[in-house]
Amino acid sequence: MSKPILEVTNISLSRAQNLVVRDLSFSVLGGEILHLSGSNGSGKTTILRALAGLIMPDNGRVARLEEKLGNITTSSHSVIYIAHRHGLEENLSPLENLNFLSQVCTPPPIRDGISVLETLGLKASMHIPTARLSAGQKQRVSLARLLMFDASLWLLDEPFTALDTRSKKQLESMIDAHLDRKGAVVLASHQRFNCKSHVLKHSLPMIV
Amino acid sequence: MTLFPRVVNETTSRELRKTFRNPSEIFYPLIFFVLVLTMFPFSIPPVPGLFNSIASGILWTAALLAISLSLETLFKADYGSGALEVIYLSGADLVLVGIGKSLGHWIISGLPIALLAFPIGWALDLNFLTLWVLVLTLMLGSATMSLTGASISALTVGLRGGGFLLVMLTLPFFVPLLIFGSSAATNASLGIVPEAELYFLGGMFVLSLTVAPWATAHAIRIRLG
Repeated sequence: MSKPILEVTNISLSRAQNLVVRDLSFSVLGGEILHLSGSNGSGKTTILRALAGLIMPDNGRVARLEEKLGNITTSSHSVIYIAHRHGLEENLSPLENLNFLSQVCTPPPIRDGISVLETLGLKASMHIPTARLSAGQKQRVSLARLLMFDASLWLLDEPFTALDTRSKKQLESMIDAHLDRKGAVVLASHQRFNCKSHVLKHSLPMIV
Repeated sequence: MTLFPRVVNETTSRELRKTFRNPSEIFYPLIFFVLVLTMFPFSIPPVPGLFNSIASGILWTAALLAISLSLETLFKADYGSGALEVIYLSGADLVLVGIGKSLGHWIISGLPIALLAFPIGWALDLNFLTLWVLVLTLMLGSATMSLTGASISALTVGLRGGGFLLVMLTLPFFVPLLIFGSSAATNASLGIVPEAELYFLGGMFVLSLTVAPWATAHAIRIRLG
C-alpha cells in the first residue's frame, strides 16, 4: 500500500469571511485521483487553494508528505497548482514564461521548456507573445508546468476548460502516467473525463 | 553575467523584457517628471536667481513623485495574472526575486530620471558641480526608493485603494531622502562640499539593500499565503 501524499483533517475554510467548507477530511494516496464536484460556489477552488498552501484553513490541518518527512526545501515544490488564472505574463512568449520559471525554481526542472511545449503541440506558437494566444492555447501553456516539474501532488482546477478533444485526451493520458508513477491528483471539474485508475469522488454540499 | 545570483538576473531581465514590449509604461514616469519641471517655471515670480536656488529641490520632488507613482505597477500585473502565485509555488527564493524586481524597476524609472536630470538641470542653469551631485544623489536615492518601495508595493498589491495606500506608506520613507538629496545639491551650488549628505544617502541605500528584500519576500508571502 502506498503512503498518503495528502492528508486533510477536519478543515473549515472561508471565502471573504463566509464559511464555504465545514469539517472536511480526506486523504489521497500515491496513485489515487480525487474528483471534487459540486455546484458553483460550493468551495472547490477554495479547497484547492488551501491544499496548495495559498489559504490558511480556519480549523484543521493540511499535511503533505514532504512536510511530514521534514523536508522543507522540497515541500513548496512538491505540488503543482493549475489555477483558473493561467499565471502567464502576457507580454512574454510561452517559452520565455517557462524558461523564467525553470531558472528560478527549486529544485530544477526535469524537462526543458522547448521539449514540453513541443509535446503539447505548441511548437508554432512558442515564440509569440502569450497575449496573442487563444484561451485553449494559454491553458495548454499553463499545463506545461505539469510536465516540466517533478511534483508528487497535482492540484487541477477545471483543467479541461477551453481544451479541444485532442488536448483533453492528452491531459487524461498525462494524469494516467502521473498516477502510474504513484503521484496523486486532486481535480475539480464539472466535466466528465476518462481515467484508467479508479476515481475517488467527493461531492461538496452547499453551505449557505 | 555573473555579477548577481541567477534568480536576480532572470527576474531583472524578465522585468525589462516585459516593460520594453509595452514601452508606454516606461515613458509615463519620465513624462510626468518632465511635465512637472516644465510647468514649474510658469508658476513662480520672475525674480533673478530665485528659480536657480530652488531648482534642485524641485527636481528632487518631481523625481520622488514620479518614482512613487510608478511603484504601483511593480507587482500589479503578476498578481492579477496569477504569475506571482506560480513564482511563489515554484519554490523560488523570494528575497532574490525581490532584489531582481527592484533592480528592474530602478533601471526603467530611477536611472533614466537621474540621467534626464542632467540636461534638465543644465537648462535650468545649474552649475556643473551641482549637476553631478544632483545626478549622483538621484541615483542613490532612487535605488533606495525602488528597494523600499518594492516591499510596500508587494504588501498593498490587490487591495482596494492599494495605489493610494502605497503612496501614503512610502512617502514617510522617502522624505528623508528628499531632504538630504536636495540639500546636497543646494550645498554644492553654494560651493559647500556635500559629503555628509552623500554619506547619509549611501548609508540609506546599504540599509535598504540589507533589509528591504527580506521585507518584500515576507510581504509576498503575506499577500499569497
